[in-house]
Amino acid sequence: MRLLYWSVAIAAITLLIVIQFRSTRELDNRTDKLYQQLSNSHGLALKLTRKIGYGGLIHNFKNHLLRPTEPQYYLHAEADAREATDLANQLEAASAVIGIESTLADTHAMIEAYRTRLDLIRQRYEGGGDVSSIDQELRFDDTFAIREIDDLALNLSAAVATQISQLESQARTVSGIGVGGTVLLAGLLLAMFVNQQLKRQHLNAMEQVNQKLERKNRELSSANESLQQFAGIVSHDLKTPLRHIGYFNDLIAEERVDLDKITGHTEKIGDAALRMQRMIASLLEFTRTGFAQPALQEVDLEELFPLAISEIQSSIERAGASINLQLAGRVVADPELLKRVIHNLLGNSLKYAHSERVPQIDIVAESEGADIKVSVSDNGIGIDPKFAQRIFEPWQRLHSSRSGYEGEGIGLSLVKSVIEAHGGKVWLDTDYTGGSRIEFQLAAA
Amino acid sequence: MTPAMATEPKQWQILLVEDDDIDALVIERLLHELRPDIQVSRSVNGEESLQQAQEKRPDLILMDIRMPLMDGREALTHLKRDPEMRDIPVVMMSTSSNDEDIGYCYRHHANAYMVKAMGLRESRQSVENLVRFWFDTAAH
Repeated sequence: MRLLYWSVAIAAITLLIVIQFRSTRELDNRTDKLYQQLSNSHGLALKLTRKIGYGGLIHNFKNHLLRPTEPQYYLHAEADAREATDLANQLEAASAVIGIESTLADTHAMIEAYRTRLDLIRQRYEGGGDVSSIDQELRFDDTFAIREIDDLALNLSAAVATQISQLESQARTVSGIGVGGTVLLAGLLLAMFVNQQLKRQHLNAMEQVNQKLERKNRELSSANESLQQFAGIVSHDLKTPLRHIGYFNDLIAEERVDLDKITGHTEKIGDAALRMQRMIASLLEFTRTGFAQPALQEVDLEELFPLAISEIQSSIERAGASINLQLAGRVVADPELLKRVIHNLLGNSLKYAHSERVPQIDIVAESEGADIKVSVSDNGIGIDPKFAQRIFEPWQRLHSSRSGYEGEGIGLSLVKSVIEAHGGKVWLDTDYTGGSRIEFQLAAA
Repeated sequence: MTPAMATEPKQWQILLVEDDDIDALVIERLLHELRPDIQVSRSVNGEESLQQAQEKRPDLILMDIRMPLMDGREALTHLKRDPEMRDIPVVMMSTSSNDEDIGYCYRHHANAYMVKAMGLRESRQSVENLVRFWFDTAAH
């Protein structure tokens, strides 16, 4: 459809240009023709004037008058009169072509007068008249004829000038229409083009908005999904200690007598209540930290990490762990949230320490392009590479409660949501075999 | 379950797959209250349960859903895909009474779904129903 519009527009422009070109050529042609006709008429007028004037009819008439016995003057004059009549007729015709209707009445009358007088000269002469009296008698005033021809020539010039200026003005109009049309059409085309560009820009903008919306939608639905998953897991996991409380409560009711057993059951109830409390605390932590919007600022890792470590110094000492720092660079991050990340990673390293090794944790931060990569490595029990994804899902414990590794399974999912809220990435280095190594990436400041 | 074994009382074997010690203890105790002769073996995650099911060929598997390493759903899928083990009845156990969770298990060919009760009395009732359905009727 668009192709059709453009084809029509281009054809129209071409047509206009052709029309304009042709009108210019036609003007030239017609002007030339008019000038030719004018010069033709002027030529005829000049010839006619000469023919009837003193080089022609009148000259020979006078000679005939002076020498009536020499027949050639009579003959010449007669021929001149014939030719003059012929020229006058031609001039009339030529004038008519230019648009001036003239009968050259005075001219024809004068020629006729001289012709008839040619014979009268002989009669008077033979009748004994002298030259001057005959001249007096037969004199004919040619002024009107000459003026008539001159006037005609002037009229013709004026007529041609008028016609040419008319033609030129017509041509200007046509050309004006042509130029105007071309400009108009070009304008229309430009408008169409601009319109299309605007439409395209508009569409692009719409597309961008749509993409943004889609991305937001995906983010929201992913957030929604993880919230749903989270809620499901939370309700399930919270029910477990609650169920235990229910069991032991019923057992106490059934027991009634054995105080030792009853004491055992109440202790179990206390344990379950404590576990619930811990779960609720970590749940709160997750909702506060994991869903927090980071307040970004420039953070010097050489300052922040030692500070974060000092805050959990007692746990580190209790585990007898040693921590090595090798830090370089500044990141864009929320310092409080970043501290929580470090606490959780260190907490995991301490919790999953190898029973036969002194816990050793290395934290290395290094520049990697526009990012800073931080890796936290330990010499603990390690994580099977096949759980590289699952460890970051909320409430996924790899170890059962009986394995001796206490945990609510929330630490790494919290780390993941904090790092991702910063626009960063976090992963398990599956190539590392000396324990576990978690790495994350944040934008460098 | 061929009647040929009827002359000698059948030793029922149950594989209990449960990571929570207290839950496991309670279920085992309730089973023994009803049938002291039932042999109960225990796995603490899905992966271990597959191995034990392969070795012991239990008469019934009681499978918790939420467990570390390999959860009950994944173990169920593996069991029901295995031509040698797909005939072992699997009863899924969970705190969730959510239709979606229950539906998921049945779609993956679980033989029954048991919602874990919050108290001992309700749990006892559940276990009784379970035993009556899977053993008493199956045996006669």
